[in-house]
Amino acid sequence: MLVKLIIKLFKINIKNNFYSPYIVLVEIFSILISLTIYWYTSKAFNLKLTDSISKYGHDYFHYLLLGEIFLSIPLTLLSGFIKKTKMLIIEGTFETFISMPVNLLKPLILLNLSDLLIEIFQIFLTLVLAYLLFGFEIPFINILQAISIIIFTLPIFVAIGIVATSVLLIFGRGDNFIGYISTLAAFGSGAFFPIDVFPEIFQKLVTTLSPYTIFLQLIRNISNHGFSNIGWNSLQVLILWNLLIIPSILIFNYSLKIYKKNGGFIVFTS
Amino acid sequence: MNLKIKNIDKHFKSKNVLSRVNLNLKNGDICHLGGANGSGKTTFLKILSTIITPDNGSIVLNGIDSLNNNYKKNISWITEKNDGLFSRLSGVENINFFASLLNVSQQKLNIKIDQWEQQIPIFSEILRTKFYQNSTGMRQLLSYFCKTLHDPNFIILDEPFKALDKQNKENFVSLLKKNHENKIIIYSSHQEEDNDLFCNKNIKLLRGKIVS
Repeated sequence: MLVKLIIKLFKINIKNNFYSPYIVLVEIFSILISLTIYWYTSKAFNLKLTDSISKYGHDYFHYLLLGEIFLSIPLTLLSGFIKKTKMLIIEGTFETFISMPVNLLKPLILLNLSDLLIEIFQIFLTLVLAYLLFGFEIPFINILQAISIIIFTLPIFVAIGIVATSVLLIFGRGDNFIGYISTLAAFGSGAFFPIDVFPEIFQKLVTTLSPYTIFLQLIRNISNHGFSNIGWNSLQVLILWNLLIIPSILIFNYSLKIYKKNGGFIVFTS
Repeated sequence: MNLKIKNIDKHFKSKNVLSRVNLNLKNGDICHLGGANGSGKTTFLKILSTIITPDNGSIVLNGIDSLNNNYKKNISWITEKNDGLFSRLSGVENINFFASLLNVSQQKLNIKIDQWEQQIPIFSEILRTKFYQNSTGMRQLLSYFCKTLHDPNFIILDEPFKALDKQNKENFVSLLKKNHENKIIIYSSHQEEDNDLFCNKNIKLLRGKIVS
């Protein structure tokens, strides 16, 4: 039933987002621009970064593209929950869902997961264009294996999104806070450049604790070597992070109580 | 079916919005809630819809307290905003979304759609048309249909006629009358002419207190 509903919402989203063939063309054009930027950025920095990215098995273009597209999934969930909640509050839909005999987390998670499918669809388009026009050469089977890691880590990033929403519901604000976390996660995970440039203590901290860094490192390993070089220690840490889903639900229920008590006071900043 | 509202208080910071609101409603009651802007109408209706929690007091619908999750199975909160509906989807697609969310079976859904098509000739057009292409009255009908799919016994309407012209208002009232003979309806409006539209009980809020 839930999967059916997510697929239904995905179809709704596709209709909402790509309601005209021109929109699809604009989307393809925008992906081509991004790929071109990555291509020339990698040309500019490839030589300088050869040593530090050699362990990843590919040039800087592949490094950058993998980091950008795969990190977009957890970051979409992080900011997506807040954006979606704010949108629902502005429309009045949030209140409608509160009054309905459904667990509020259900529509919230479903709407975000259907947005995530759009993101995955865009990633797929990006990869197809990168394969066809930019000489992207990571085996497709490895990409499919990397996608299985996305599914495995989904509860972690959903849980972080739920906690972020709870911050919004309790304090009535949270945009800037989430902005800082996203920026930190992007840099600390090594999405744009290897984390070797950071102080050793910071490197140890993020490679041991940050789910974003561990997630992206696993994705890079699997993209290059498949499941043969999966890194079981990292997997164990991610299993522990998966448990965050339980406290996140409790935190959300508490935040909803505060929201109802405050009468739905939320500060909307641009 | 009865609704007992006892000693409801609500304040936001230092402002008292509702104080000691008491009200009893029973099967078939259609209650108009009047009052000027800022009198506490929406806050009161939101409390009845569990969107806001009161500081004190209780709401019991047919023996079920509003703090109990089963309470929500019996209520529906409807505003003039058409919130929750997807603008680029047709009526049927929007209905299917709400039906999935509320776990309404396809069979039950088809029966209800058939009934509405027979009662309201324009409903067939609403089903086919994309939401944003509908008129305000048609949107209101679809929103109402979607949010009452779970067949609630207590309908809470906040300013339902605000965006409707005279004709649409009359159509909407006739629809409510037909569909909710044995239910409880409460609706707010600050327009005097809405008092006698179809209510059999009339109350007014003044600075958070029921005065009539």
